[in-house]
Amino acid sequence: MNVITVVLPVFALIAIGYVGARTRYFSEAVQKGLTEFAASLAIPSLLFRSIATSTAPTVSPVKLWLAYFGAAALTWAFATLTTRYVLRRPMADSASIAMTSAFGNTVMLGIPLCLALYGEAAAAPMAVILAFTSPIFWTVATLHHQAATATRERGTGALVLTVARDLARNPLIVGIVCGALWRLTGQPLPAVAERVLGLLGQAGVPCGLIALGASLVGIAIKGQGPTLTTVIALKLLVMPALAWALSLALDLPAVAMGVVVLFAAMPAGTNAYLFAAKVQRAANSASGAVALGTGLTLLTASLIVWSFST
Amino acid sequence: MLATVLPTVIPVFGLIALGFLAGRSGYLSDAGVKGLPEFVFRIAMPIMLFRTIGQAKMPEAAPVTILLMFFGAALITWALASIATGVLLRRPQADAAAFGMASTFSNSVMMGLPIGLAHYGQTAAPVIALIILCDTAVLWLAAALYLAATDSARAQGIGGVLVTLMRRVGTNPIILGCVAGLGWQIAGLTMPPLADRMVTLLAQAAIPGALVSLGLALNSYGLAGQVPAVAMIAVLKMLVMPALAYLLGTHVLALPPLEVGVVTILAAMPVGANAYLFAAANERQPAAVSGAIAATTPLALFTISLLLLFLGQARP
Repeated sequence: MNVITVVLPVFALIAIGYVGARTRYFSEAVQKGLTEFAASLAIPSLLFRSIATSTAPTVSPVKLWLAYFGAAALTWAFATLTTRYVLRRPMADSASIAMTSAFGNTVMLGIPLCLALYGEAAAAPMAVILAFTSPIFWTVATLHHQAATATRERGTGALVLTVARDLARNPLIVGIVCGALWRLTGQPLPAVAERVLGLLGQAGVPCGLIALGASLVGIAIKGQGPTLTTVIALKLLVMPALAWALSLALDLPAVAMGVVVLFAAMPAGTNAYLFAAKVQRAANSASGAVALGTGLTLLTASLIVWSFST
Repeated sequence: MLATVLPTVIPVFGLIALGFLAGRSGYLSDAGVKGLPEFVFRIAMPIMLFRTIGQAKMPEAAPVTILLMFFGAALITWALASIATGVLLRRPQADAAAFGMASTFSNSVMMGLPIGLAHYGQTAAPVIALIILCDTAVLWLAAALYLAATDSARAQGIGGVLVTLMRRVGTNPIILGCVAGLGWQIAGLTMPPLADRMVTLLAQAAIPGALVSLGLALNSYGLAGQVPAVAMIAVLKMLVMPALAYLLGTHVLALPPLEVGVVTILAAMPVGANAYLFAAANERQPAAVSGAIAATTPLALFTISLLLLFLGQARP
């Protein structure tokens, strides 16, 4: 598999989205509208359909979680320690810096790259990870922030309730769960349903990429040099390296390993920025990490795709 | 029998219905309602047209005869609509242009293209492109001429009309996509694999995006207007115009079955959004035209199914 044919079209679409928004060829509504359409309709349909119809042998979900979330947990710990002892920033900044170092843009960028590299075979391992990324990262980041700043807006019970409610409402998770349930029934999807889901799903990747490109226009490369360098190095180099090592140790099959490492290598996405902006901690660095990290991923993702295809 | 056309028709209307419900229930916010159609119109659809036309085989029939079939049917239907405005609806002739437009202007981009391609495959693309190109140009010309005839204060000279027309045609992304595709086709170029992958990826979003957008947009058209006016437009648009097109294509112009089928499908499409823009801009019967769009789009599920059934049998 040629690295260029996998990685370049993905980044070309991001570039088109960026240039289109920057030159005002299309209005700001496009970025919001496409993000919403991709995240609430198209990508959930894509995941539902690929999981419901997937014939790929299942990899042990536990191994996948250990490899991906293990790498994330280690990176999170590094980021927290680095905040305190290397960057010498207040601990209150650590949740936001850790979030930016560990929570990558798996949905808008990870899915397109994995699909381009492995096709439908990537669907099952992607879904196993994706079903948990958003809830786990948001919960851990919120708890971490509350502990570090010694603030407690709500009790833990209330937090669990909020998370459960968000889970049930998250279209991505609903799509994954419904797809898995359908597969359990052993019924084939009705032809018409498969066609509707297939049509919607095929729009997910291009719409997500254009939206991602357009969203970069509003995000400046700013933030302090040392912090920005740290979070980008952790996100783009350390986390994928850890994921790779864990995948090898757990003896993951090739496709699952590729998905875990590529997902781990994804740059910080809008979610990380949203968290930083919400708690008003290291928000400039998060914004810089999203903008600069996404650009640099062209190189790191190419490298990973190249090593996995030779 | 019906089983042969349902796989083509149901997904198309399923996506329109999904878009309608997503907009109505607020599942997609106002940003989605605005942003998705803009993306489809400015990026995905032009790229898809460019790619599909650039790779498709040119039609056997001369382009002029294809255009004669479509616009011949449109012209006769327009004339019938003008007569019916006075005789049946007893409305002033000033309303006739809006009724004529609504009775003849097909939703060819958002709906004709998906259905034509689903039924006939990529070979249908150049014929569809030809009609989309001329449809849009003729529409704006008609709008300008109408303005010139009815409102001398806002009218431009012939030169001004032509300049405006050229500018609108030259900057319309859909038209540019079609023209670029035809140029590519005529020049006989082949796409480098890398560019092809990129273009293919973007083009994938065009048809689902267009259908969901159409569904979202239907929320803004109320089932308003007087029943007789809406019924007249629906009958002319969905029955008379395709019947005329079919007769012209088979008996007068003797076109090959593919061309006859594609043009008849386009002629049978429900009323397109441009007809409403025209009526609203000139303040002539916007409620009736809006009602006609809201009524004919879902009705097309039945008329198009029957038409495809009929055409499928007519295929050699």
